Amino acid sequence: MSASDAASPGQPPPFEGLDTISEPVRLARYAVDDSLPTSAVLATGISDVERAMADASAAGLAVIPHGGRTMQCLGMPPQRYDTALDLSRLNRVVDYEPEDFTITVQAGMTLSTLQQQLAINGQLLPLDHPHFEQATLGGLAAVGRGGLRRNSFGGPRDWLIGMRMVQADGTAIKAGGKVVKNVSGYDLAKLFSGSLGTLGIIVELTFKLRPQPASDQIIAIGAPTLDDAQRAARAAANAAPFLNGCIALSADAAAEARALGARLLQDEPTIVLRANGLESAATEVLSHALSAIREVGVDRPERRTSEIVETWQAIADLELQTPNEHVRLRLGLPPAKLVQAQVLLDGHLNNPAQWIIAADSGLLFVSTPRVDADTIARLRRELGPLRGRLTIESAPPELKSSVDIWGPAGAGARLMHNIKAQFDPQTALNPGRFVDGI
Amino acid sequence: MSIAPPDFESIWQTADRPDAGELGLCVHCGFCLNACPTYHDLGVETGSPRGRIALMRGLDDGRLEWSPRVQQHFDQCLQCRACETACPSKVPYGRLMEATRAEAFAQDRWPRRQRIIWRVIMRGLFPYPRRMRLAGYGLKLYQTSGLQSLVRRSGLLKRLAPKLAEIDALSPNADRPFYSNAEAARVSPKRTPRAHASLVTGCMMPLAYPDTHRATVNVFARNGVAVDAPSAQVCCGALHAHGGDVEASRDLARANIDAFTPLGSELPDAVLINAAGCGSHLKEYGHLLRNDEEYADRAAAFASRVRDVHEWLVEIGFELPMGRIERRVTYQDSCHLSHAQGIRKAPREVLTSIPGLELAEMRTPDRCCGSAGIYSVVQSEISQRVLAEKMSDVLGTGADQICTANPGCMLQLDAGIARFDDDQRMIPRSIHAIELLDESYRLGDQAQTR
Amino acid sequence: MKTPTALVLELIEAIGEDAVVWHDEDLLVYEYDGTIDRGNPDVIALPADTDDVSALIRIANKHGASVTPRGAGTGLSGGALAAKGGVIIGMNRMRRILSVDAENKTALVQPGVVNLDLGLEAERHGLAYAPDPSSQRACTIGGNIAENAGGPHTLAWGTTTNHVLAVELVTADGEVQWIGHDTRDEPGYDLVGCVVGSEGTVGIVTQALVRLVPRPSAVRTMLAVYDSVRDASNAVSAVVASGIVPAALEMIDKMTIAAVEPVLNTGFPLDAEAVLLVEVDGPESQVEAEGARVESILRRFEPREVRSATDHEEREHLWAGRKGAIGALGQIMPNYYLLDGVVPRTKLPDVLDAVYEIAERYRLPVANMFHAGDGNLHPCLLFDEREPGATARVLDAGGEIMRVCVDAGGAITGEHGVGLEKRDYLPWIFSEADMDAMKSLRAAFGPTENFNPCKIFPAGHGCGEAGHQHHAQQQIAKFGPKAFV
Repeated sequence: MSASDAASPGQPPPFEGLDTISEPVRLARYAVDDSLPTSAVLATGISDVERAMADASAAGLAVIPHGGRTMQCLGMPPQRYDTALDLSRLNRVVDYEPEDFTITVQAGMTLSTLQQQLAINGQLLPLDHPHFEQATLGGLAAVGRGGLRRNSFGGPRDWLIGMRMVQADGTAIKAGGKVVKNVSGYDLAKLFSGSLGTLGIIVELTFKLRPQPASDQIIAIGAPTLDDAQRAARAAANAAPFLNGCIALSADAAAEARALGARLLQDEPTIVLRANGLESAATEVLSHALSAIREVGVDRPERRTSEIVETWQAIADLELQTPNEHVRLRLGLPPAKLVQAQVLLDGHLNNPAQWIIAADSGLLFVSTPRVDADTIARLRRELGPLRGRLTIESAPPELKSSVDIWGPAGAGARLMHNIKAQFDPQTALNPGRFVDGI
Repeated sequence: MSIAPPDFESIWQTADRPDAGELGLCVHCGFCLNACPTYHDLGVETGSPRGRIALMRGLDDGRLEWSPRVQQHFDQCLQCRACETACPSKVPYGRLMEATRAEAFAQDRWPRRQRIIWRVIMRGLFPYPRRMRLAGYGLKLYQTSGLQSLVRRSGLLKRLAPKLAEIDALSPNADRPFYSNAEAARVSPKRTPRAHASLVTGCMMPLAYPDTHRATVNVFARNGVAVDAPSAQVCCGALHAHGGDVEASRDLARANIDAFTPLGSELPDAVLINAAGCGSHLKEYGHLLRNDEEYADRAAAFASRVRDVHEWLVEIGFELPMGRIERRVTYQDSCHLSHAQGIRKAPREVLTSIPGLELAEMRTPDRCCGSAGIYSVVQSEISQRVLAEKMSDVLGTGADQICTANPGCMLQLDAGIARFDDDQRMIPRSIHAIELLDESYRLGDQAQTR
Repeated sequence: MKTPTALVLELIEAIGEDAVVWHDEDLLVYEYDGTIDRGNPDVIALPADTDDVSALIRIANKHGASVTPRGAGTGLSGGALAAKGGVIIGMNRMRRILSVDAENKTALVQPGVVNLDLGLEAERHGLAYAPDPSSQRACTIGGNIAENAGGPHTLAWGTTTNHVLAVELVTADGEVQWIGHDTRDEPGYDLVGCVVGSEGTVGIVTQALVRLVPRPSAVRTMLAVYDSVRDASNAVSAVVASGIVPAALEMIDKMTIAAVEPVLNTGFPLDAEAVLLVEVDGPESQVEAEGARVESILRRFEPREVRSATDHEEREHLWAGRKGAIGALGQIMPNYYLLDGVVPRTKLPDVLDAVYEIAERYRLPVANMFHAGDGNLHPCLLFDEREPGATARVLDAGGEIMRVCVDAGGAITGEHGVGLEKRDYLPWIFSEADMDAMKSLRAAFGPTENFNPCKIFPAGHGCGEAGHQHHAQQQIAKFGPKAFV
């Protein structure tokens, strides 16, 4: 069914009775790359989402779900874009059982609100995400990306135990449940997590939780060069496998992080280590890591900080920091290959800046003022043997017109297209923004 | 499994049949699979303990015909009983397999040739010490005349009679003087003995590994035990029982009970045995003769005194040896010591007591070497593959010598060294821990007198 | 003499006579797995590599024969049974550990590798493979992936799905593809997350890249003995609520002790109502302090005794008692029906009470040994299938127990899978729309008609009496179909 059919007389217009926006001025905030929708729906309950999707499906409208929009930069420009589905008002706690260490929340709740609620009971969700005060849990799950502590805590997929979604045709479904271990039926929560809103709208999520550690410690050590910092961080990660974070920052990244509130020493290449657990244990882990760092010849004094959340969040925010329309790259690869990968990127990129290297997790973020399609292609080729995967997380639309920000989808592409066809046969959801044109 | 209809005629014909209750203990959890060398090798469920029990049950409740295929699955079992160690339900698998084989033997389910050979060798030769000795001299002649090396070099046997060539490769080295039971009495403790033991010398050990017996008597004498070796003893019958020839095995058991515990005599403190396969069978004499009115009690009493040499040595406490043996030794748990008798620590305790000796453990030391009595001859293909895997574990340790606790294992492992130790790094003959202990005692004494 | 069918001949031609099992007497031993269902295959094919698997699937498809993958056959939900006959593809001969990358903490394995063998290999590199199902001495990684296997030590580390990074998958159409990535950075849908736990219904895994984890430098295993199951389960709730995440937190009740103790001599007191096995691990100082805290919590619930294993051997001994528990039940009764319900952890004491009440009402002995820290119960109903009506009684009681778990906000299976056994109970927790969405996922992986049929979803046509459809339907009639959804 096409949009013109839906507009035919006798049919009610789509989204009737829902809270909608159609003034261009107010729609500007829903811009994705250079595209603007013709309408936006502000959902306040799951039934709104069901209605909105049913209507959109009947009218053949293309829908892009919105949460906190911290990562709307991620993805190819939409092929079609009619309606923004704003989920940020779906922000209630549905069910919280502190003693079971599980919580069910609506998709529009922000990560920081969730953490505040959990903190009351001495609990937390150990996931990192840039701009956690805006980032919604639905968005976080839809992006599905592991953060700076991925080595210890994995990504959203590893903490999600249940999910409610609204399918492209408006049917509400659920997956998983409220128990921490569950193999009843297929794990659709894993399928939806990281699907960038292309299969359905995530409306409710159930997470398992962790207790807040008795002690959470961060120390920072300066290093003469980024290379030194990186080698030292790798050595620390090897020597202290129970670290909960092990990052090397370039001098400009350290400076920017400080500007954002991180308590680091100076604007110099810096190693940031994090460990938690019982106080003695965290101290023990850090001292193992420190001696490994000293052993590779980095001997500047360390600084301990008590501003754990501020410091860590400032670094996480940097992942998406794009000064002057920079292009921000994310690279994931086996941690032992980080040093080689960094050299490779350094050689190919034009004025690379703001390096963040999670040495234990095999993650690297770097930005560059300009990059062309050929360079990206060459990098991807040369990263192949290192088993590296390069994603452009943020770039101006003109670059996206010549480069696939995701890179080749690999052998799974066939299955991914099949899945998309099953779940969203009309390609109404986020059309063209995901991998391999999905 | 379904249960049999009431009018169903049981396939079993003898009282030695597998016990239905014991078959019922198996809950087919599969824990035994990875412990089973033949499952490992064949990769089929019919080659596993769980599968074989299912076949026994199939026969038991009439769902299955006892075809030659089924028989072949039973024949492929090594009876190493590693599955018993792995089994959380403690299914007495070894006993079930022996019972099944007893039925197979009684029902003539073997191929004709195998039956004839069995009768000639197992019934005509093994039970008679004199005939064994005669055969031993024949082997000695074959080896000392140079005929064996000629045959091996020519490769003629391999072409003409490959089966015989396999047997030849497994034949013991008969270069040492055969052991005579009278020898035992010539060695006695220096002081008044604290205990008295009777040594089971067996059918093959006196010919193939006479020095193990000598060392056993020396070691126990040194530790204050008077050892004798009753002259009327015969083969223990383990091979017969494993093969299913229960009647022959019962005859031998009765003869041994008469030899070791004549009516009216006192029981020895221990019936000592240095061969693991024999030891586990001797401990089963009570079960074997449970329905024999005349012998049941005597068999149980006899069995209660049976001790493996390692086991008893550790039990009574032994003098720490002083002589250094600078050697890297790896210990292969004989199945019938570890899985059947549960003795794993004692041999290691003996070995590690020897100064200079380094015990280098291999991967899965308690996995069968593929010898399994006559298995290495009857199922030679599987046996050789199991051996190949074992030897790769052995060679992986960099050991100089293999130590093990059963003559069959020694023969098999010696053949393994000959075939797989390409660099000829290892001492070509495996050894019993008791011999190493004896040697260490002797070296210690020499050092002192010097 | 039986003659081979055209299907058998073609399979033999593809992978050799040695690798195809088709005689009736040999097929008999492939009718079971670790539990009570049965299914009779027409032929077993034992591939040596990925190409074999692909070829086998294509041949089976050509002949319209159904395909059922099988690992070691230790499963507890009938997942490896040939519900509609056809070809069983037995993966147990593909059992090589292809490589271990100690620095990046990964291992590349074939699916037939036994879980414990991978664990031992990881140990040689100072690492561990975290999921450790009780059947780990025999079960295979391929089977673990299919069922998303757990185990005592997944409380802290997560289940199989948290430890599989990439797999080589042969889909139902015979196509081969690698999915996933060394560090989960493959762009696109989480296909690996879809495959793990799909119970072998979307394809056959022929290689897997798994995550290894660092070995803790210290471990402390504690045994707490209680005179009432309530006290023990309250102690569990208290430990969980305290914020400590033990490496393992297991409960074993009196009936289980009675089965285990005589054969394994683990040192569990025979007259205790329940024992808890609690393990903490990590750096020395952490283990010391956490161990002390856990111990003090355990002591609040009036245990008869709390003690710690003093050495490796004693620890292994305690664990042997837990991991051998299910098999040891053969000592009490010849058959068991093992359930796998999972409930929110605070509901554990009430649900346990209900389990005992139901068992008593049905006059069935019940043994409980389970992952208390995860809220994952394993009530084991003991019976003798030769007693007329016993099986039906057991299935009814089992249904009631599952119902109690569902009503408590839980699920019907925590780690064993739905398989044949629980498929008719799936509607208790999922609506038609939920299940339709799951089926869409399955359809994306290829033709579904003949690939591992009759598993997970309520029985379709041709699945016959495999499973316990009849009883399940009675149960559903009794309780209504959609109480939870």
